[in-house]
Order: sequence, then C-alpha cells, then structure tokens
Amino acid sequence: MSRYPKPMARLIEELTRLPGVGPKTAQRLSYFMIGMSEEEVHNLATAILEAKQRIKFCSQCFQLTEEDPCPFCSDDRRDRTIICVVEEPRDVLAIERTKEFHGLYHVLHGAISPLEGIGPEDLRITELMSRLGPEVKEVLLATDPNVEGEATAMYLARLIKPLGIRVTRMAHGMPVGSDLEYVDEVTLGKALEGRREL
Amino acid sequence: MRIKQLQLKNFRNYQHAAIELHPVLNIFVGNNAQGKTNLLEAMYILAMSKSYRTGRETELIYHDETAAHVHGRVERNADIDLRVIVQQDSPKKLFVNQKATTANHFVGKLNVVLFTPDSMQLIKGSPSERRRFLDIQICQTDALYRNNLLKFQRVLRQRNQLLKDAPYNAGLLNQLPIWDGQLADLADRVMQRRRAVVDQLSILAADIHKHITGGVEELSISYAPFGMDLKQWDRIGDAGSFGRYMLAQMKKERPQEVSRGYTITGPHRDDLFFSVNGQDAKTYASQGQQRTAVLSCKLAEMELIYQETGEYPVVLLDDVMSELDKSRREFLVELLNKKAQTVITTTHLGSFTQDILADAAVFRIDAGKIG
Ligand SMILES: Nc1ncnc2c1ncn2[C@@H]1O[C@H](COP(=O)(O)OP(=O)(O)OP(=O)(O)O)[C@@H](O)[C@H]1O
Ligand SMILES: [Mg+2]
Ligand SMILES: [Zn+2]
Repeated sequence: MSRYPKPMARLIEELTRLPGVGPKTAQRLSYFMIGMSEEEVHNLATAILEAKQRIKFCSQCFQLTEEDPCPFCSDDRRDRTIICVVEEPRDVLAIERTKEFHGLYHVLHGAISPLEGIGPEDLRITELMSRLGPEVKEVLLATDPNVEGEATAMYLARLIKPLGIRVTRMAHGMPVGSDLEYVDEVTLGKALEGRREL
Repeated sequence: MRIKQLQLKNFRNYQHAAIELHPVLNIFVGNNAQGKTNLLEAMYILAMSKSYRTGRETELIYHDETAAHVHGRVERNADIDLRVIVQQDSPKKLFVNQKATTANHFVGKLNVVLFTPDSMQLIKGSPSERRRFLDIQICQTDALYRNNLLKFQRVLRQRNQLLKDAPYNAGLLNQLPIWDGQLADLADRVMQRRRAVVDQLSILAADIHKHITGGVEELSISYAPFGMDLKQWDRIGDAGSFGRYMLAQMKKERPQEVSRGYTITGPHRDDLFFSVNGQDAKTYASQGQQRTAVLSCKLAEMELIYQETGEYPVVLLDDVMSELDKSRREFLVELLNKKAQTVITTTHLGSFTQDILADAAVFRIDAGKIG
C-alpha cells in the first residue's frame, strides 16, 4: 500500500472494511471517487453521515427508524395481538412487501450461532420478552429458513410457549437455506399465510 | 449426456483454450506437468461447481490474473450452457444458460465419474474418503440430499462448537436442545439415503466385478454406520426412527461428548465396507485386486447415475490406463465406448490399440496449449 499517496491509501483501507469489498474493489472505488467532482463527493459523504446521524433503532421493535417509536409501532391501525420476529431490519421490508401481515415486528439483529460466538444474550431477546404483555396472543417466528434461523426459532419457542402464547413458524415451501430477504413475495406471502403451530 | 465444447480462460496453466470434444473418446496426451489433469479438473468443476483437488479456489486462477473462467456446452435432451467464474476478490459465480444461479441448482446439470490414481484411497484410505465418494455420488443426482447433507454438516459444526466451549461456560449446555432435534432429523435423512444407495451400488458393482474377473472374485460393498451393525440398523428400521435412536444416543453420550468436545454418534462417522470373496479388501486384497475393485465401483457409479437420470455420465480417467493390465484396459474401453463419453489422460499413446484410436480424438497437451 505504501506506493499510494497517503490519503489514497487511507481511503482504500477504509473501503476495505466494508462487507464484500476486497482490496481490488476498494482500489477501483477509490480511483472512481478521486475522479468524481468535488460536489458529487460532498453529496456522497454527507449522505453517509446524515444517515448515520438520523437513523436509530426503534426502542420497542429495534427496526431502523428516523423517529422513535417507529411508524409501525406508533400506527394504531396495526394489529397489536401478533408480533412477527425477524433477524434483520431488511426482513421487515421483505414481509411488508407481501401485504399479508398487519401486526407488529420485532428485530433480533442476528441469529444464534455458536461458530460465530453469537448466543441468545447477543440478540434482542430480553427486549422481546418484555413486550409480551397480556394483549399479545401470537408470536410468529420469521427467522431465516436456515439452520441458525431454525435453532433461534426453537430457542424462542421454548421460552415463549410456557407463557401460554401461541407460537407459529413460517410454513415450509420456502427455498431451504435461503435468506428471507431473497425469497420472492408470492412464496413469502404463502409461507406467512400457511404458518404452522410450533 | 456429453460435453460438446470446453473453453478456459486464465484457468490453471491455460490462458486461453477452446476444444470441441469427440462424442465417444477423447485422449489428452502429453508429458508431465503440461496441463492434462487441469483439463479434467475443469470438466469436474462444471459438474460439481468445485474442484476435487483443492479447497483454495484462487489456486485455479492463472498466476497474477483476477479471475478464472470455465465454460462448457453440454448436450442432454436440450443443450445446456454452464459457466463457472472463480474470482480473486469476490465470491465464485455460477451460470446455467447464462443465468446466475446457486450451487444447489448448478450441481448435477452435468454428471461425471472421475477415476484417478488417488481413487485407490476409496479402499486404502480413511472412512472420510469413502464418505466423500458416497456423498459426491449421491449429490450429483439428488439436490435434496445435497441440501440435507450441507445442513447436517452445518448443524454438526454448531453443536460441536457448543460442546467445545461448554467447559468454560456450563450454561451453553442449555442450548444443546435447540440443535439436537435438527441434527437427528437431518442425520436420519442422510443415512436412509446413503443406505439405499449403497445397496444399489453393491449389486451393480458385484455384477461388474464378476464380469471383469471372469467370475473368480465376488465383490461386496456394505454400509457401515457408526457404532452399530446393519442388523441393528434394520431393527431400528424405517424413516424417522434413526433420528429417535440418535436423540437417545446423544442423551446417553452427553458426558463423553462434553469431555471430547464433539458429537459421537451420527453419519459423520459412517463408513463403507469392501470385501472380496468374503474377506476385508482393505486388509487382505492385493494391490491389483484393490485396483480392480475400485474400477468396478466406479463403473457401478456410472450405471447408478444412468439408473437415476436415464443418461450415462461423462467418464474422466486420469492417468489410470497404464496401471491396468491389457485385458482390463480393453474391457474398460470397449464398455465405455458403447455407453459413455470418455476423457482419458496419458503420457504416451502406447497403451491404446489402433482400433481404439480410430474412433477417438487425440489432443496433444503442451505447456497449457492444446494441439
Ligand atoms: N494457477 C496456476 N497458474 C499457472 N500455472 C498453474 C496453476 N496451477 C497449476 N499450474 C501448473 O499446471 C501444471 C500442472 O498441470 P497438470 O496437473 O494438469 O499436469 P499433468 O499434465 O496432468 O501432469 P502429470 O502427467 O504429471 O499428471 C504445473 O506446471 C503447474 O505449475
Ligand atoms: Mg496429471
Ligand atoms: Zn418499532
């Protein structure tokens, strides 16, 4: 890296930290950015900074939001008897696109994975449990249909069922091993509709 | 099925190469280290999406280049265009008919049977070699099995990690139950399928072996699940029941599991048992007998793929002709000629008769160039 001028080397290094960006891609992006007009670069930089400063997690469901509580949690028309549990904020959008679900959400921010050192205490599980008041009749576990998502659903079911709350899981028929995010709307919609009791 | 065309770009020691394959027999001839095996490896990758020689895929990329391309046209009922791009920086890409796809959809579009001097490990090597043989065989024609196997391996690694960490954090053991159910269920599916395939394979291989040895030798292959004999297995019986057995074993073996840090019972410890005339082939069979047994097994694999898909796979023979005696060589070529497209590598054409060469394409391989 020492052959690059210092500021360029630093830019490459910072970009390399991004997911999916290797040294070669970082180099290419850096050359591209250096070639952009100062105004374009300014826009990009402020967009990043503003997003970082203005977006936070909803204190109830841990979805990304500008206002707390988020539009879902503060929307009175949504069904408060059912909570859909997902791994990532982007999964909320995937489920919203199906237009099949009208309840509230809860984002765990990950799934249990001993290999990556992620245990239940690293997820927003305590926060989920504290939301399970008397008005909640069903928890729909919509973690990813892979082994970690399955294990996480199992963990939550063992925790929630003793409370007398109905626990359901997305129906089969979803591509195995996939991320929720990549499942098409029709399939996801059907999986929601035909959810099964755990 | 057959491979019609193969094109390489920056793959191993090939910068650019394109060949049209002969429908019956293709012979790659050249000195050592010229790129013969590399060509077979490329064809294997079109079948399995990954190499059998290395787990480090960037090794496949021509020195100092950024990406290796393997591109093939396969003739089945309809022609299929297959492409694999291995990249230095980013994940591998797979394409079927120009459309990007996942390994699970890619694997099996082309079927191959590979026979190399290393195939002897099937008898001589460790149980993991035999499991690998079996898994590669089944995965080629059964995407569901492939999926279950990958999931099983993932759950197993997760569960073993918990067992490894448990001595430092006893609370982790409370998490075992969320993996046990999945593990037992997947183990059951994997083992039921393996058992069925070994039974089929054994019948086919015995038949072929009898033929090759002029009726003198009887070859038998049997499934050997860990910790039980097949009678016990048969008593345990039908679908789902092995899962229940495994749950019970995990419970019983918990203390040993924790002290050893891994899962004791399961298909990850399966083995195959080869016998010739009733005797353990690993211990008692001669080098030549073992080689013939492996050959029978590979040909059985070919027949099994035919039974499963209605088409013979492409047979890849790396450097094995010189190791077989004349009668076996002729038997092999004659059999393959009638059935499957075959690709053979050799350092000299001496082991082929004029008859064989008459209906074959011979390619000279010299330092990453195909002549
Ligand atoms: N990524 C790579 N880039 C350039 N050359 C490579 C690469 N990987 C392997 N090679 C070269 O390919 C050659 C080996 O090719 P291959 O294994 O196909 O030989 P072969 O013709 O089968 O020889 P043998 O008869 O000894 O089996 C070696 O010279 C090796 O250096
Ligand atoms: Mg070779
Ligand atoms: Zn919210």
